[in-house]
Amino acid sequence: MEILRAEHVSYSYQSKYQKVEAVRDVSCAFEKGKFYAIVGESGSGKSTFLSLLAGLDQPCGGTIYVEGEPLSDMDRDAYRLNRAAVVYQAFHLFPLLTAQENVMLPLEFKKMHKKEAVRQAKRLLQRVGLESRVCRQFPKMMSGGEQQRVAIARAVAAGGEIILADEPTGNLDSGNEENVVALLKELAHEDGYTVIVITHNKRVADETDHVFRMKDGRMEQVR
Amino acid sequence: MLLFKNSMRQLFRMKGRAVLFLLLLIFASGLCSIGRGFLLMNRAKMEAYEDSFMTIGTAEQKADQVKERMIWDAEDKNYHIFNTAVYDSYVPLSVLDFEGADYLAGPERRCFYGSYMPEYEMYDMGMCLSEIVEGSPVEDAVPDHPIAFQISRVLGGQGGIREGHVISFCDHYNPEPEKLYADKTYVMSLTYSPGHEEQKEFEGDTPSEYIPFTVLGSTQVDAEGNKVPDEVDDDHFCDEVTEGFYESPMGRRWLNIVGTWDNLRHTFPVTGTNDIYLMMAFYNGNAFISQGREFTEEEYARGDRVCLVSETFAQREGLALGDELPLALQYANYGRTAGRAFAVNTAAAFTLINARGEVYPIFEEGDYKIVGMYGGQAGLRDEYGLAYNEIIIPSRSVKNSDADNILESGPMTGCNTSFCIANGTIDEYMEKWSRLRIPNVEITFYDGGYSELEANINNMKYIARLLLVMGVSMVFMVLAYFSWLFILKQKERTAVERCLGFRKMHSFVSLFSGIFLLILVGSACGSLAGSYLSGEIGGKIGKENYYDTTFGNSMGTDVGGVEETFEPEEPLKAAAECALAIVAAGTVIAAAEIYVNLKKEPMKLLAGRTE
Repeated sequence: MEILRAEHVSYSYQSKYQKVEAVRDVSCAFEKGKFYAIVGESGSGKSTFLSLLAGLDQPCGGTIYVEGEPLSDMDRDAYRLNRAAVVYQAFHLFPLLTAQENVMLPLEFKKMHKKEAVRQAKRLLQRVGLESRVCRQFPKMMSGGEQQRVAIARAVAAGGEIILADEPTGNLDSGNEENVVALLKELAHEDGYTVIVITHNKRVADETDHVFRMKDGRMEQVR
Repeated sequence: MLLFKNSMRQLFRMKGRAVLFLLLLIFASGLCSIGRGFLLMNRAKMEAYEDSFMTIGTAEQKADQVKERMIWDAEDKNYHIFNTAVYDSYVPLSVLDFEGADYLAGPERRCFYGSYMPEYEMYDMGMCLSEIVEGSPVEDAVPDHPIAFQISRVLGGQGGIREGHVISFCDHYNPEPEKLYADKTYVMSLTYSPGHEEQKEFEGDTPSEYIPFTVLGSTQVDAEGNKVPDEVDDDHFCDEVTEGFYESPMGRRWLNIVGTWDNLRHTFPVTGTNDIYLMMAFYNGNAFISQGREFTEEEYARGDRVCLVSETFAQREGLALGDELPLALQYANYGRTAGRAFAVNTAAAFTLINARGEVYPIFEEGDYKIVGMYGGQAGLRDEYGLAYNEIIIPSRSVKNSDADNILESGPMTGCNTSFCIANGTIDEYMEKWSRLRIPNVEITFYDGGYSELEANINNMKYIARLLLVMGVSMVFMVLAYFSWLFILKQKERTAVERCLGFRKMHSFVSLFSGIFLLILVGSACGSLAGSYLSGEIGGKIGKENYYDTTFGNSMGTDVGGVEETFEPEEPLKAAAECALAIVAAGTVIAAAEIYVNLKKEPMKLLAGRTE
């Protein structure tokens, strides 16, 4: 079932010296419960396209549909709060909150009762394979893999259906990389999330269901 | 609430920084509050003192030259040299009306008038009158030494000589006196003087003599100060009395003089002014309003017929506030003040007849209502002081010209020419005055110690400003640094929150609420502490300050000093104002920095757009 679709999406911005066309006439579709990879060289427009899918930027041309509804017509803050969450290469956890508090924040923000939020956060942290001792740890006390798992747990807590991950394994060693990819794969295949990862890493791309390649702002489906 | 709790939670997990921020902000707010408190306190002090102090200036014309005058001394048989100030012309008062001279009162050139009021007695006149007598020498003699002189008739005077007395007479200051004959009768104007050493042999240790006192030649001057020509010489003091002498012009002049001497006992000095505090006696507190009130600004401006009298005079004459005095102004004297002319043991140095030998006619009369009485010293040999029984009136109440009734003129002096300027503007005035380059007029200022006080308060204000500037700078530095730490350095946090679906307002509240609370607490504590501290210190300084104005102006009956009477600021109100200003500044800085955070695109910040 199609959840996200881009139709002739383009995006350009003015850099210091010239106008940059980061995304050019991209059309593609993403289905529910599938694990996608977008690969391409640096500067090919992958991250820009991801921010358009996350609703953090607006396309200059074309339309992104979420279950058939144009994203531009939706409340994009609510979209991110309820349906799509973003995971980053550098984790970007709140450094002054514990792992549990990081995961609880979007839940409480969605007005979930504190007790329920605690329970849910613990469940999610367990779901991403973190031991209960990690719950009370601050990010700086955790390994990169653990931080990324917390970030994924927070993304799951925040978003409902779509996880957009920008180089989620870029800062991880191979062991942690495998674990995180496996987790994302599980979330897609077992929990029904649509997971879209941007990666340079062929091993990561090989684990996904479909691969898109971006070059000079244009996209083609490789697999 | 969640956002606030989350904000506080994150803020207090930077405990060290948060506490440091709070402490620094308390200290900086305290400095601001103390500086502000001191500044306002000193400003309030100055305002309170403004009403207690008055700055007046006096103008004095310097003599164009000093001439030596040789005066014969019959006792020494030699000339004595005296220095006499010579003025080529009198500088007019208008010289003080120059551009930029911002007077609060004046400038005025005061004269005193003689007001003839036969129903009132001029007690304690002070001034000595000459004795006008008829008599003959006991034997023919040249009065170049004390000669025996038989008094046959007393026409007028102080009453020191009686008919039948034989006095010692000497034309003391005349090197070539004319011979007097025993078979002739002379009319003379004489005054008492200590006798010659040689007389001690006959008269004991305190010999006395009578010497000529010139009153016959008129001292009348015109409005420009030029002497009105008179056919009688200035030094004329004696005439031979022959049959029908008193019907002759000269004889009538003698009788007129005698008449004015009688009238003088009922002629009161009246001084017109535009502000009684321009008169040094009132300014320095030697005279003060003891009953009733001063003149109002309107009375000065309109020239209402109101007056101030000495309380002693009022008591003697049974006068009360509201009574009216029938003033009849006869002459004007611009040469000296009433205080000088009517001083104790001072001989009347002017004639009360005009150049035609007639008594000055009354040129202004009217009933003046007594609105106030003054107490204090009078009748001293002080040209700055008041005369006994001196009556003070508004200058403008004299409507008619005194041009034909001026019996003496003189230069501007410190005691007759004065003006009032705003406190603390002496330097500004003198700078403008010096540009006029008028070398023969000297300006002297009296401010009752205001300049010294102002300098002290300005020093305090400088310290207060320094504290305030230090405090404000520190507040801004602390706010800027910690806002940078708590806000600008938290760009990532804002971006993540935005990615999690926080609206811009949510992100704003998330960052702002914590720092706002710290600013609120820090500024409130610091301001309150500073405010109480400045109040305490101010109170102590206030108790120690007592400004001596013995030689300044006290502007009332409270002679001797001015105590601090200003109302200190309410500490809570002062602290609230200070804290509010700091909170406002903190809010603006924080809001501006949060705005910068929110302007950053989250993805650009978190992922980095390498494209």
